[in-house]
Amino acid sequence: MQNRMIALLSAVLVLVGGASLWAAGGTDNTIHIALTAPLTGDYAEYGVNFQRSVQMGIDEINAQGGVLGKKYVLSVGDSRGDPKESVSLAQKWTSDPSIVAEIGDFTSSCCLASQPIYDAAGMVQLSPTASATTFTPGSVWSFSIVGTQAYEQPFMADLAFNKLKIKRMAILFINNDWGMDTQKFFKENFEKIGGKIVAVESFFQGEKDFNAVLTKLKESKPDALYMATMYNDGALISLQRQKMGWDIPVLGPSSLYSTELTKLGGSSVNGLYTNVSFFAKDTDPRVQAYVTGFQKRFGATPNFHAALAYDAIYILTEAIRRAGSTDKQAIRDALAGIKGFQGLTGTITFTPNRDAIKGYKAVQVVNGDFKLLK
Amino acid sequence: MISISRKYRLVLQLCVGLLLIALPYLLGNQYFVRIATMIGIYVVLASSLNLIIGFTGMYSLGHGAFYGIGAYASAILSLSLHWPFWVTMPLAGLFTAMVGAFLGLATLRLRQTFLVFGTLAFGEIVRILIMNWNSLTRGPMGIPGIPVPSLFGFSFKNFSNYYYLVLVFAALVVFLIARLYRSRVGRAWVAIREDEVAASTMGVPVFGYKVLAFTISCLFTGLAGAFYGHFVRYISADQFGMNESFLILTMVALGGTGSIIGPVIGAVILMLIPELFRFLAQYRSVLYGAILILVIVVKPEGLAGVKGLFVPPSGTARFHFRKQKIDSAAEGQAGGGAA
Amino acid sequence: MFTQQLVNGITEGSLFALIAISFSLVWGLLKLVNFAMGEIYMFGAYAGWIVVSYITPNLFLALLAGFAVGWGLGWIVEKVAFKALRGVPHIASLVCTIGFSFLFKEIAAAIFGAQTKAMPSFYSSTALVVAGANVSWLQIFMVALAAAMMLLLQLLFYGTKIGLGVRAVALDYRTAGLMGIKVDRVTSIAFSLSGALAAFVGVLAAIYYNAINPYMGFVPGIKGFTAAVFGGITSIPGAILGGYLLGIIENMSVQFVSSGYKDFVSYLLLIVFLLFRPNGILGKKAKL
Repeated sequence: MQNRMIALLSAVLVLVGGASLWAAGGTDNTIHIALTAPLTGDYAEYGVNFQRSVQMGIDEINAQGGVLGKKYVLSVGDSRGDPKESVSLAQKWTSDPSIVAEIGDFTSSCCLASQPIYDAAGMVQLSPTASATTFTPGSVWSFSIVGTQAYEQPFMADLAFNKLKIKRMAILFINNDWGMDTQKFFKENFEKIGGKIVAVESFFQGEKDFNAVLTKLKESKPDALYMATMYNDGALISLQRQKMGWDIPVLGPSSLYSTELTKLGGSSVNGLYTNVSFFAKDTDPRVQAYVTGFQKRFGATPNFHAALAYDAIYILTEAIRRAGSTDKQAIRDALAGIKGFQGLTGTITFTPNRDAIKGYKAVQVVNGDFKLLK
Repeated sequence: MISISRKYRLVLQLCVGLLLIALPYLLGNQYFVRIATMIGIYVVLASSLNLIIGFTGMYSLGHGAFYGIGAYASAILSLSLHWPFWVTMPLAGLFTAMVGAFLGLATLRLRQTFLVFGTLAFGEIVRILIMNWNSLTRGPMGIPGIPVPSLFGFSFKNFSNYYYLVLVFAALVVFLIARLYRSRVGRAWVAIREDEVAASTMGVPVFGYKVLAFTISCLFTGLAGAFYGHFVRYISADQFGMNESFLILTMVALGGTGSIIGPVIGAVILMLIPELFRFLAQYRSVLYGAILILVIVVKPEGLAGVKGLFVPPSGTARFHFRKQKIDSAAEGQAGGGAA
Repeated sequence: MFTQQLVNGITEGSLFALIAISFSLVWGLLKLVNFAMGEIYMFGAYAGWIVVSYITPNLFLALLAGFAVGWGLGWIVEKVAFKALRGVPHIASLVCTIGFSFLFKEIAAAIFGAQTKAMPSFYSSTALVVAGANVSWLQIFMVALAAAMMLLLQLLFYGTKIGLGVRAVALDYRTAGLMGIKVDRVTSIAFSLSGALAAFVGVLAAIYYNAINPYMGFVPGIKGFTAAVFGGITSIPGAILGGYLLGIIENMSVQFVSSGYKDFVSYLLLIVFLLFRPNGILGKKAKL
């Protein structure tokens, strides 16, 4: 038995060896780029939006004749939101000589885990959403366009304290890298301008029952509740808060901005404040073209994360155009030099650390609809 | 069954050895070398879990946590004290073994099925501790920038070099486990697996041997964690959750419990399937589940498992109630022999 | 606040209790764990969602649909992971159910998409106020249902022929087989029932939380399992007690310890219980 298994094992190894032979190279009139996104698993709904937006952008660019006269070819990999998978994909992309740049991943932990691979191979790793402050300073090849919480949270703290006159705030955050960063920066900035954080509670990914934490937060008698969560958890929290009969102003970061929030949360999210740098009702014709195109093709309204992925493919295209070649170093340098790029999520200028500072607009949910705050 | 002569077998083993050594050159591609390295780490994980499941008949669903403890211990030691990998790696292994021994001392008196719950709960406790103990583990932020090991100025940053490092480690662990299996200790373990009461009657200190098996298994698992952490250079709690425990368990079951080569095969297959079917994108996970079920149903003892492992030699593996054949396997499993 | 947390705990506890019964049913018969239980729960929620949003907004029809789907899935899992693998080491069945758990959630994601979907609420109006704590009709309904289910199962087990069969098989399947009980059939029915129960709870949870997604089953699956061990996995009243205790302990530990350590407290208690009372609170002494 053992012998047969050894034979089998060697056969498998030979097969793997053989497989390396067909590791193909690209042809001359195409540009290969890769997308890493969680298409399955806990973060699948965000990953699927990544894929939709990037595919849409690529189809549009190809229809207009491509970039540098070449058409895009997209390779998509599913990271399942698992850092190990993300690393494996990074290795796959960087080992493929035809791929010139990568877009992704969704979570900061996945991006951080695969960073050393892109760094060693010298390939642009452009994450639409990674907002951990430690991410982009880690490698000259890492870029992020969402804008870290270090920029967004001062805006929210200012909105809460100065405009809405909230003095005592309770925070509920999702206990992952993103949520941790978000609540930390909000807390720091809110306290710096004179506000008081009366309670901080957290929950883990996958939690559905927030009654206990909400009860505890309510006890601290805050003026308002800050939800550092994604829109789906945010909607659940709001529903349960409403059922508890706890009527209180709610605020949260831009991750709450999604038509899904109002669809899931119904009347419970009315009055909620958040901010946007991408607004689906923006009168900008490019935003409208994107939103209607997305709705027509996928039957859903794009949210902030989707728009960021769309911006990612366009800013990458701009970099390739400026570089004038598909040389990886040239693309990186061109990307780092981009200033004032007009994206759907606002003007993007990379800082020396290769993350972006965005402009933020406050919005409020009014009767199930996001309205810009004056 | 094909019987292979001793001479032929030696030649075959030599071939496999040479192939493994030449692998980075054959593959050429860093992506494949990386997969090969990860397979090496999982070979160690599956083999050490097999030490518990296959050799002593106990279950553990907490190995993902032990793996994490090893990875975190080594990463924290090397980042905060700047000790080299060659010091932190064995320390991480010893620390994991110590934790394992404590857990073993506490829970191994439980009947084996309750051990499953105990280890599962332990695994979750470790994950929650890592997530909450911010000052030590950086909580959900994970630990980036774990240094790459080097030896006398020779860096293992290159994947091919790290592959050889892991290859030596994995080969050593598999070899040690094979030796253990054939030693007096190994025979005692098998005696416990087959019939705990009988073993006890024959003078085998059952509890002590169980704790020993658990501790050794945790030692190897912790070492594997250290090798993993210094390879990927970024670790976070979500890499060592319950799914990881499930994956390692699946490797053992798929490859075959109680055999030396079984977990190796399980690790190779379960690491290759997701990579081979990447082109299926979101449908890949569906296929993964389906393959898992299919293999287990077709070959329940695992691809290289010892047939009739928990069953007396004359007994049939499958039976039907109506035929009223007596099966002592299920009973031996449920009762575990001791209260 | 204490009463509010108690109410929260009891409501969450009734969900745990009902899932715990499912685990306890399977365990009692086969001494095995079905790790796909959480995913059956999830499919139940989707079945209920389809009924409510596409056919008719009727809570009872949704619960019935969940029950039926769960019955079917439970039947499939039993046939593949348990019947086909009877007599081989337990690890094979265990891994097979892990495979099913994978398969089910990814199939659901492929069919329904990974997006979280909204589920309308029923009977969410406040029924009574106890010391400042709001209690909705749905919460009362859930607790009543858990109690009814326990009574129903006790009746089933101690008042019907099938129940007698189940008990006989649980006690000693070989002797039961010799006595002419159709062991295969009894096992199949009990297993399908456990699946149906899990899916039924899935519908309830979906209505209570107003949202469903393909990955919603993992946490309740683990919690239900923990609750079952807690209360004594060999007994159904024990499983229910375990469910309520777990619910209350978790909510209290959020209040008095920290939300980050809520699961920590329950798992630690689980280990302590395993060490000092391995058969759970109401569990019978192990029959060897």
